[in-house]
Amino acid sequence: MIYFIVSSFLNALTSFLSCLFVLFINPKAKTNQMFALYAFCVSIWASFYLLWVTADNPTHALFYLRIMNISALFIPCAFFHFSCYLLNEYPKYKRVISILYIFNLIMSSAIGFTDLYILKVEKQLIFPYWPIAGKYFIVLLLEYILIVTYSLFIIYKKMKTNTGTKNLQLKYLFYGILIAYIGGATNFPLCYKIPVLPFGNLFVSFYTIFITYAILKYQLMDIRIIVKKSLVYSMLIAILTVFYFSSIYLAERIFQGMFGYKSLLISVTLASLITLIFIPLKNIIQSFIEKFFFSGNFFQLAEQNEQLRREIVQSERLKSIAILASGMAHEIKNPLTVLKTFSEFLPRKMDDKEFLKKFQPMIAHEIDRIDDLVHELLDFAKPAPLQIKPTPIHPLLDQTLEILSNDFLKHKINVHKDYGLETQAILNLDPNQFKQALLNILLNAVEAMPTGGAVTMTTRPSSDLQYALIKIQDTGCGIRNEDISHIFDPFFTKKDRGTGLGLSITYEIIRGHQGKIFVESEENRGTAFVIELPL
Amino acid sequence: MICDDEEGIRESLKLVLCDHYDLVAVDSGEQALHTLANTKDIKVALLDIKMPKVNGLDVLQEIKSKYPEVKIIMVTGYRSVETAAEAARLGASGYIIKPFKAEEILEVVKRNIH
Repeated sequence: MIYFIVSSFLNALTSFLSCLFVLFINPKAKTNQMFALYAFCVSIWASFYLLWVTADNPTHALFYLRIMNISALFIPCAFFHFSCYLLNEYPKYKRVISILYIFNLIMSSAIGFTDLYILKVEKQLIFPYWPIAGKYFIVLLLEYILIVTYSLFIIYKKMKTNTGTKNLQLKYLFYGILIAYIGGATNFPLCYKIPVLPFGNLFVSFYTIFITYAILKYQLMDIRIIVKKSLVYSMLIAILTVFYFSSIYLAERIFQGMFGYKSLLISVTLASLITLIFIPLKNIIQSFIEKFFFSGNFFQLAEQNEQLRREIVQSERLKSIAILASGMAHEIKNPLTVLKTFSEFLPRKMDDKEFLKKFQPMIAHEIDRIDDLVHELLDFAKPAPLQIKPTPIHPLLDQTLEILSNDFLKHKINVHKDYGLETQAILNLDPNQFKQALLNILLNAVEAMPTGGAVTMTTRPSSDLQYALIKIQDTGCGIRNEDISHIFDPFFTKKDRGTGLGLSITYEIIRGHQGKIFVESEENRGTAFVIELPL
Repeated sequence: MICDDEEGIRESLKLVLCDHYDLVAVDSGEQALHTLANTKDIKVALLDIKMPKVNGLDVLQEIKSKYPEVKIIMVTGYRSVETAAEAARLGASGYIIKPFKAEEILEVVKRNIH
């Protein structure tokens, strides 16, 4: 009985706290309001559950039961209401929800004032006043099953069509609610005199915590944790309950006559024993579950990390492609302008030989330009190993600066070029990847000069003529001394929105070219990156 | 006057405007300033924004300070509100986005030449 008292107390407390918590976070959001309503219904249900299990006469027990069942009636309904808001499907189900609430209000009066739902209370197993189902109790049961199943169905459907954070959030909700309702449903069999104790009761408080957490921090945890923790605690509770009841039973048999059934001594001894074995037992179960159900965790974790790393590197690459594409959009507009003008004038100048002579080669040239640009974009998008080939360096630097010309213009950044290598200097490099390396540096420069400044691109041979030095200097805010040694570290960022991978990718690319990269910076004066490549 | 570093654009603009106006085409900001200094009756200049060495906005500023009577229409591939606002602030009378329609060019030039 202690288990049911404690579990209903915990359910009431956690649900009430969850209700306050979500309201405190954002009282105006409809989703939060609906979750609060739902948690409030659960907390009322659990509070009256507590009063009912501790009731000392059948009249009180029946009264508490009726209120408990009325609040239980609204739980699935409020949950459905909340799910609709969460999934942005409220307008679709608005009418259904209103009908459900009206139906529940009618049902409430029937539960409260008639014996159609709860016939009477009588002793069932360890409960002195368990409710016996009335003629229409099945309606309540069916409503519970239908609404919960349908809510889970719409959540599952949305979960499958969403990825990332939303998917995780819905996963939490789905599994959390599944565990809770299966737990909550263990209260029903005994109403039809099926001798199953409602041990699942405690799950109600678990799900409340998980769902609240999932709503607020959905991207941080993995669903495996919920399953794992629920499994650990349900096994723990089952073992402790069996231990508790069998100990009482044995003690009663052994010391029959010496102690009464409700002996304080036995209860206190058992409570102390349970306290003593709780933590070690929990650890044993946890390691057992880890070993048998979640083995290979470390490898999976390493694999997940690697997958995550690849995704972030790829997203960084996509960012560069987006920049490249926006630069290219402008480049494509010039050939398009020529093509458009030509097509506009062609019908009326069909016989104008001079027009055709002038524009025909021009059109072919412009089409080739568009074709080259498209190929360049496609090459850039491919995550390929380095394809090093002799490349004229200065045109490559010009093209890279060109990609960002719109950004330079927008941020009032002047570009200076000081090319000290031979005009036709050729370096062995992968033009696309090298362009990406430069883009990352130049983007940092742009971000470091929000109110304008200058970027200077310099090329020089090294003093021993073995290397080409490419220097990119800005007049931005600079890097703090303590940060300089970390700027090429993956995930190191001082920006509000940044992965911290840009410069680490640059570093990797330069290293792949057998080159080196250095940085000099002075706060509020600017930063210079120097790339050293073999000549 | 047409000022664009790309031959295709210069030829396209010439094609659109040659039946209606006398034209001079140049390929850089420096050339534009040089031409303005030597030719008295230039009424409208069509200026590309993105040009090597000196960009169109700087040329616009320079022309406006020396020849305020010349109307300037910026021709650009940037569909950017900031750039358009900057051009207007510096005294541009029109702003055309590439790729343009012939009638669009004619309309803007006509509006500015009278």
